[in-house]
Amino acid sequence: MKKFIYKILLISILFPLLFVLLVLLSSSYIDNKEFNNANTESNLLFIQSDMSYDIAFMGISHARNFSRYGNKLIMEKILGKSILNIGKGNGKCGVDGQLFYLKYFYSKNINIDTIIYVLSPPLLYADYLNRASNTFNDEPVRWDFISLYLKTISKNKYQRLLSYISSKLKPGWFLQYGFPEERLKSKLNKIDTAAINEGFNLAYLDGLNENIFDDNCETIEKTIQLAEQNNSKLIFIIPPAVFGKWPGHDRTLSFCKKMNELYTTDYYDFSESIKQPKFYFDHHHLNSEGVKYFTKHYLFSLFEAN
Amino acid sequence: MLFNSIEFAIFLPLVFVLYWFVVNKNLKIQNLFLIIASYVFYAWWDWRFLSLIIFSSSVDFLVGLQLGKENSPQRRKLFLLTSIIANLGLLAFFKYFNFFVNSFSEAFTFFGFHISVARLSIILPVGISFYTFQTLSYTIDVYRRKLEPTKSIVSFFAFVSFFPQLVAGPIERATNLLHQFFKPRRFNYSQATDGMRQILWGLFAKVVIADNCAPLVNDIFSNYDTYPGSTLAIGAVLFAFQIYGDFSGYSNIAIGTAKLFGFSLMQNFAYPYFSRDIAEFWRRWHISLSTWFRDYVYIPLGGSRTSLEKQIRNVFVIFVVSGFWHGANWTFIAWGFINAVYFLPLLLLKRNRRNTNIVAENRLFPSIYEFIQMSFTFFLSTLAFVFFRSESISDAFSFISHLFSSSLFDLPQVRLTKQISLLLLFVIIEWLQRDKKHALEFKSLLNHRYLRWVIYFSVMLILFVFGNFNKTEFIYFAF
Repeated sequence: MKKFIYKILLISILFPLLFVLLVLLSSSYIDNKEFNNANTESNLLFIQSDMSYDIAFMGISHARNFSRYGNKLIMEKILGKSILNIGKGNGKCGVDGQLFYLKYFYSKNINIDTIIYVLSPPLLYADYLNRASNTFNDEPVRWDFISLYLKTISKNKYQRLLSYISSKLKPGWFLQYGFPEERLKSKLNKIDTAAINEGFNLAYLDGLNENIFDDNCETIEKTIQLAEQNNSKLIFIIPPAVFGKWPGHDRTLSFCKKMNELYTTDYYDFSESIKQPKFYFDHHHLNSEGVKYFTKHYLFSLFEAN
Repeated sequence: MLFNSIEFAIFLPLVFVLYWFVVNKNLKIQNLFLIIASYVFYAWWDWRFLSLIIFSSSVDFLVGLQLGKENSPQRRKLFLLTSIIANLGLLAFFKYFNFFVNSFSEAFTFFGFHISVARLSIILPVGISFYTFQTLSYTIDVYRRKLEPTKSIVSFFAFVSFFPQLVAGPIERATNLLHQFFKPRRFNYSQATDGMRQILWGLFAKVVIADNCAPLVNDIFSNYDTYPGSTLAIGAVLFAFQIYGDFSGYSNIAIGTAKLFGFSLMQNFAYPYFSRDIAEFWRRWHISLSTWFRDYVYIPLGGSRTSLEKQIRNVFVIFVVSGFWHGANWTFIAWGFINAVYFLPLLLLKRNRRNTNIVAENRLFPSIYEFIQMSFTFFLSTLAFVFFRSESISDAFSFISHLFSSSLFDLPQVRLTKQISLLLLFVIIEWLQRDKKHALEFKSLLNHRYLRWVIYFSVMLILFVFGNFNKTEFIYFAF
């Protein structure tokens, strides 16, 4: 019996040690490589402490898209401002995750003048994004990140942490590819109603549930409060889509109006602003040409107005 | 409580320590402790259904005692009947009531009559099909005078509720398990380490293989009308591995856990996908259920020692009943029926006991003929599993007609790199270990300590990196 218990204890100690060692090795292997906001979907790989940015984008893929590959440079050049993008696409991150990222970056003494929260209506109706276990899979293992997360109330917390840590030993971590560049340069040929509806089914996996909407609005309100505490101005934009308004658009807009009355936030509805398919690579993601056009004609004037 | 849960990871060491260090002085107390632990394990899911286990155990314990005293054949039959009615009655009520009501209603509707029937909203108690069959085997064996009835209520209740195999088997026979509760247990180092290895492999099969196949399988079977045949073929193959990983995984964890407590349970899966014909497949798949039906249904019906017509009838009866045991749906009955049809040519040609040894014994690779035989058997069982997985018979037929359409040769619409790599690893290890009781039984490597540890650590690493730790239930919990 003694021998058995001794061996079980030995495995219980040695295996976690070995596991952590391997995780740290593979994490630091990628962490030591050069990354920037344009060539990775990770947020921690390129952001350093004690930095200042004029603008930070938050949201899902519609936000992240503004920084993928050349898009970030295009925007910075047109707006003449430094940009940070902590938006997260690929169905990995909801409003909870976005709030946590912001909290972490403030804790790293990062100053942001203006936050553009790209408020895609599907984000507000999604609980599955708040429960996603792969939210942090793109991030290197950092103790301060884990320790802050452990103190945070979050859905699916331990599942997410396990996935975050174990993902460092998966082939995808070593490949660390950004969003495919050729996709961003491609153009939507025609408007396909069936594809739009299929897209709605994928985007609204939890349906148009008002309870989820209210919970997510509460989290966004906390995001506003955090931004205000850190002297960042928060602006909501509803992003453009080739089909115009998403389901749940009116509720999203009235939430923006309400926040505008309660806090110092502003909001802009760009949902109907660009309807030409040539500016999109699918029905709701701007391609590089679209990002350029949108920045020049809409975001530029937004910053002029502010 | 699920084997792949944090709760069980705490429960098992706690029960282990108390079992070997606190209640080890007295066999009765140790058995009583096992009953309490097993009831806690079961109550974690729903404590209300503990009453059914207690009821079933009590009836069969008392019936056993009466059978021991009684010599009149009529009265003995009556006692046996009491046990059968009590156990199958529970099963019929909780599992099949709505099925029968719906089927009658549909039959009336088919003939143009509309009747309104009352349906009950009943939760299916986890493991009811397993423990009722286990306890029934006791009364039948006592009735047949194969087994002396036990006078120890504690041992009997511990036998019925023994937590490692309570909710999803193996369905143990009293002749194999009950006597183990009478003997003082001594801790056996080799048995316990082998148990740990078996648990590890069971977790691998469940968390890495079955649970990584599950999301794709669910998607493909739910949206089969939108996918090309090639994707449906992948879905069917993945389901074959999902159900095998899930169920054999559960069995391995159960057997391994029992070993930690000094118990030996029967092997439930013996690498069924390396079978060369359907008869061999059924000797290797869910062995505890197949042998249960063989001993308590097939042989009493005459088995193979009767006229050919009756043999054919017996084969259909055993397969259809076995299918129906799995669930209250026509799809399971169809699954059983299809397997009977597969079995029939082997029976008629008297080739059903041809492949009783291990395929490619003492060879690394199978011959081309053996490979073709295994592939064909796998194809047949996979096709039958489409019925097992589908929501209805019409869904199963639609799935199969979509599968065998011209789109079978289109490019599949799923990314499978991870699943294929893991399945390959799984199949290779199982193939190399096919002559062992479980895939991590490394007898020849026992002297190479470092190699053994490298294997353990590698399996654990894959488990933690690629395992799906969302709390997914074992498929057979539903049966």
